[in-house]
Amino acid sequence: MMTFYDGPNLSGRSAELRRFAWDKSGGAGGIYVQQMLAPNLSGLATTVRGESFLHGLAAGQAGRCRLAEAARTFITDLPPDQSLSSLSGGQLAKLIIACAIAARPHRLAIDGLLEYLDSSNRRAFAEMWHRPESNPVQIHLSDNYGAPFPAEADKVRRFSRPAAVPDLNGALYRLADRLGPMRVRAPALRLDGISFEYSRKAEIFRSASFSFEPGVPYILKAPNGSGKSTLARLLAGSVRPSAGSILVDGRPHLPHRSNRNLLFCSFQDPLEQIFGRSVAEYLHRLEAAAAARPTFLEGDLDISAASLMSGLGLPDFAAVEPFDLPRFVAKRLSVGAAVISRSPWLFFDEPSIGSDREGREALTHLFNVLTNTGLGLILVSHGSEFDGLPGARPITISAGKIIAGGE
Amino acid sequence: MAAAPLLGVAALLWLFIGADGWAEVNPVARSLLREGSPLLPLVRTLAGSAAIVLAFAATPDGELFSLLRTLRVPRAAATLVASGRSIAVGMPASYSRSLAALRAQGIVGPGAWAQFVSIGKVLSLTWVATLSISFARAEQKWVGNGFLRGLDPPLPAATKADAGRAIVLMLTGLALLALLMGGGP
Repeated sequence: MMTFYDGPNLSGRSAELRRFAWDKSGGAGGIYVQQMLAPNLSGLATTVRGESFLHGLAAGQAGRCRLAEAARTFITDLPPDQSLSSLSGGQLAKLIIACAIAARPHRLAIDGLLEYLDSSNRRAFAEMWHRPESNPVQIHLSDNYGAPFPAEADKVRRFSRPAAVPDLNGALYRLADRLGPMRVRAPALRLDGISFEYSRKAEIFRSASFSFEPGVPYILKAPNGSGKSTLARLLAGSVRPSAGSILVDGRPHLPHRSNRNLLFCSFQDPLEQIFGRSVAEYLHRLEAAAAARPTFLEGDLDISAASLMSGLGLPDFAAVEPFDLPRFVAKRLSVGAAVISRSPWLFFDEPSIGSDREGREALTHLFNVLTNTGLGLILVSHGSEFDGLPGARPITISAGKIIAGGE
Repeated sequence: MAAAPLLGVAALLWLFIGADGWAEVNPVARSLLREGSPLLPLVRTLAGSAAIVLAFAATPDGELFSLLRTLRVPRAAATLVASGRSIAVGMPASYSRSLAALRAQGIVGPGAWAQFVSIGKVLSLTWVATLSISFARAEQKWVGNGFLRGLDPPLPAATKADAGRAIVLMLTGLALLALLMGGGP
């Protein structure tokens, strides 16, 4: 029995899902898994195998049932000895879902976690729920991307945002309106014969060459583990290439040795990015750091940390600790922070995760405006939400090369 | 096997303890092994600690909690120890990710010195990104989902050998330390 929760962000879906899963009157055994990945893990293991063992999913474990077997099948592509910290968001989401299913709960609530899965895995999950062994489990789920779950569900519950809740999508449009007339100049970027490997067995780039021009939104679609995050790390100077060079406006630049501001990265998991004791502190420290370092950006976006906070519609969350933020708000903050970074190039890793349809449209509008200001943009996405951006150029990473064209 | 060097050291220590004959040919060793010498308690402490550490290291990932519960360790203590091990093992990766994130936001500059002077910020982000949600702020799994309540399975057959080895090592280490504290032979 599947129930789909249909509604916008901040409409109370998460609270309802928790109530459903943890309702003691319905008997024990309810599980709630949410979009923040780490809190779903046990915290008692560090590898796929260890986490699987704790949930009765490891090979050879006693007490398995057909549903647990189905869950095991769902994660057969995950190497058992791989550390949890090295899994991609999609892989981790699969493991969490498989572990929740293997626990054989009477009630299972999945809050947005399926958004990490690509289309084939979303279909695989929906098919698993049609098996006879799944019948005893009641599943309630929310998912901002929708398909294929509303059509597969036995029941759809509709939610709407209360009037008192801040309209963060409207705020994003207003922020875009303020940015619209501003103009800056970002330099052209070129990767020339770049090679990089984490170890001899894990070569990511092999003599990769590619030119990025500012004012063009690059939509990077590539399989998990192909090197999307590594590209950001190379450009940000977190890692150094083993061969090749990075050219900025035709001149060699060594990001791993230079403090000059070239790229701001917004991470897939916002909690890997947001530091400090509150939202306000994070933005102010980011602003101070950006002011203190030289940048390749010519011109300036005239937005301060304080005005960004109101521009993003976040004054109510100013004093909130990062890990207490709703996922959607944390993600919005991690994306919006790019505006005060004074970085000529912005790298957004799956910025639309957690956003409802209106939110994705608002983000698309913001990215279009940022492109028009003259900034350089690289957007990582598994979906098609940014394909319609004017001038969008799809790129992918394959066999260690960056190439034009889709995944 | 990652624990092989440690096992080798432990074996050497045991050989050293057992090889009384060495003392006959080496007066220095004999003086070290005489009654009241501080060497034996020191060796016993090292061997006992090494055995306990080995017991933890030899337990396969994810099975420490079950192992401790098998040894009748209270649930809270077992959770603390198993979480602590998990955090310790995962800390380097978490620290590295935090460093990369701060570098990508311009908060930490290039070079080892810049990383050193920013260690407070990196640890702060490591806390937010990993420790706070994996351990301290996990009401979801401990309370709502009742994750711990369902975590007392019997050890599966596939891991009995691992668990047996860990139990023997741990009991040996505890026995050595108990002898030391009780002033035994």
